[in-house]
Amino acid sequence: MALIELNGIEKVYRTKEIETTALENINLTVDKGEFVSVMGPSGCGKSTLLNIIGLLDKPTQGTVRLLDTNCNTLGDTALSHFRNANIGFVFQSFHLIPSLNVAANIELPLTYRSGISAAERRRRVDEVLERLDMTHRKKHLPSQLSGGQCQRVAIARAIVGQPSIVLADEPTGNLDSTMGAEVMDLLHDLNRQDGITIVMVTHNEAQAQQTDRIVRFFDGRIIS
Amino acid sequence: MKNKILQIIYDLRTQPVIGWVTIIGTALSIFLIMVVVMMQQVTVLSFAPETHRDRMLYGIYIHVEGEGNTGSAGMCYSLAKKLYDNLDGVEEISYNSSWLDAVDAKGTTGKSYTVQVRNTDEGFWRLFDFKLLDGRYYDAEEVAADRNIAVISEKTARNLFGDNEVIGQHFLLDHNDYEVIGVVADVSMFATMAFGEVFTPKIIKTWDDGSLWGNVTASMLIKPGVDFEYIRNQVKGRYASLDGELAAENRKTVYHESPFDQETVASGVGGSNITPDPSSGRRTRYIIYAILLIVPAINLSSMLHSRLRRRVNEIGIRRAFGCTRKRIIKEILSESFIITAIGGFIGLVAAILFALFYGGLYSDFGTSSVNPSLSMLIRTQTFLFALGACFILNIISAAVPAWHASRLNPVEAINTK
Ligand SMILES: Nc1ncnc2c1ncn2[C@@H]1O[C@H](COP(=O)(O)OP(=O)(O)OP(=O)(O)O)[C@@H](O)[C@H]1O
Ligand SMILES: [Mg+2]
Repeated sequence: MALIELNGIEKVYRTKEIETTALENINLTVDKGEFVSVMGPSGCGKSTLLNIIGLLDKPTQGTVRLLDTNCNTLGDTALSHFRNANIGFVFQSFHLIPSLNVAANIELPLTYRSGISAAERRRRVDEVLERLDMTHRKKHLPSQLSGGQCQRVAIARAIVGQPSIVLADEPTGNLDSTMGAEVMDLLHDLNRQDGITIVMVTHNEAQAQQTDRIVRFFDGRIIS
Repeated sequence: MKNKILQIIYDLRTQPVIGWVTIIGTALSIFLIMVVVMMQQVTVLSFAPETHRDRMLYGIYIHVEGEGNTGSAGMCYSLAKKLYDNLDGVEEISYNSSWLDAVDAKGTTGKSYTVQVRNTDEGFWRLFDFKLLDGRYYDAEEVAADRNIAVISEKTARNLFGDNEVIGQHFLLDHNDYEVIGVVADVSMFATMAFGEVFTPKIIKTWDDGSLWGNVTASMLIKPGVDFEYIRNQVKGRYASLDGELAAENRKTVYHESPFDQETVASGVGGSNITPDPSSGRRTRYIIYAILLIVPAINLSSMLHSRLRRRVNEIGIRRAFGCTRKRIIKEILSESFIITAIGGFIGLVAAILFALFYGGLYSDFGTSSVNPSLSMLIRTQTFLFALGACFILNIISAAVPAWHASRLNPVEAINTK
């Protein structure tokens, strides 16, 4: 079953002087439970694609369907709720909130969900911490963690709301190879055990080879 | 809530200057407003001996036009009685001097003191809530007999007689011999209609020379639930019958909405020949409040703006994980309200301390020796007003930055370092 369906996506950035076509006629379908990696040279539109799938950005043309919902028709509030319920993000530079400790960072998506008690939120955070083996860092601030640990916390935050889709933009880009491998193991784990559909941008050919499918980009188009 | 406080502590640690300037700026703004508010409250809210200011009315002046002896000024005793005695709906009435006499007094200590003297009738002691420390008040007979006796304040008693027994002692008041029959607790000068240091029963003769004029105020406590207009309408009727008497002399009265309520008296009646307008004082106050709120709000707004600039990335992340625009606004407003409330609390405490030590400078007597007491300053109204001021300050300073933050493009926000 198709979880992500992009049809005829085009993204044009218009500034005063120039028009940049970041994406051109993208058709892409990702099935439930698939782990897809996206590769291509810098500036070819990989992040733009992820932002459009993640409903953070709107395409200039084309339709985005996620979980059989036409997301083009959703307003800003509905999009926020949709992201909260269905999508988890992992970024290259972690993007943890510096003022919040590990537990509060992980809890973030749950605080934007209605009908979930504080006790239940805490229980879920503890469960994810346990799973990622970060319980002993619960009260630490992000500035007190290593890069690898930060990314684990970021992954915990991405999955605490039990989304069906995780979008990862170069999740190992800021990590050394050991820590990068650990993060990859974690993502594979989530994909296999929880059936989470993952779309990951990477520059690492070896990592890409481990995933179910590689989508290659060049200059805003899919070339294979 | 806990996370918001952690965020505030984090902000204070990472951007101490902006954080503290925000808090101190808020405190200063609330301080200035609350000083104005409290000094205003002291003039209208009830405290002993003026325990029922909300039910008090005062007849102070008379205005007469025509030929001969005309003008506008205070009333003589018999005129005040003619206009204000036995009105329906009045619980208690007293005739007493409108302006205090500053007079030299000398007791057994031999030292001369200037004391503020108020002439009153016996009703004065029923109307106001004085605290009798020793002796007794004078009665109707003694008022009628115009006796040289006095009730004096505790401070005056100490000045005139030292630590000795006071009741039955004699002292000189403007070279006349007076006997002390009672001692009352000192009264704040903010109780402008009851204040005095020496009270004598010499109200009838002192202020009755056969003309209309004198220095007698009719102070009235109105029964609960009785409309002030009902009282004024009766007084208007009395003016009309006075006009009947004055017509023969080609004179007539001009009515200026007498008697006046506490707010009118407090805002300064303005003159004996005009109809006082307390709403203009109110307008001035509101303009002062508005200026005291808006000017710092503009500064606080730019302060918040720069605090938020550091958090653009965070706002983008929150949006990615499902925070709606409305929620962003709500979070920023409530977070900034906590800071405003902290600053506001500091400002309020500072204002109370200031009023406690320097509030006397704002009294009619302009001296810091008569500062208002804590119980005069700390009222439910005080807190409600401070809270309201914080609320408004927060809304006008945080609304625009919060709205801007909510309109940030999530992708650009996330990519902002
Ligand atoms: N907000 C923007 N305004 C204008 N042009 C933009 C904007 N965002 C991206 N672009 C352009 O769109 C193109 C695609 O950018 P994108 O960030 O998607 O590339 P990428 O494949 O993720 O690159 P990298 O591997 O370096 O992260 C680039 O040419 C970029 O300059
Ligand atoms: Mg990119």
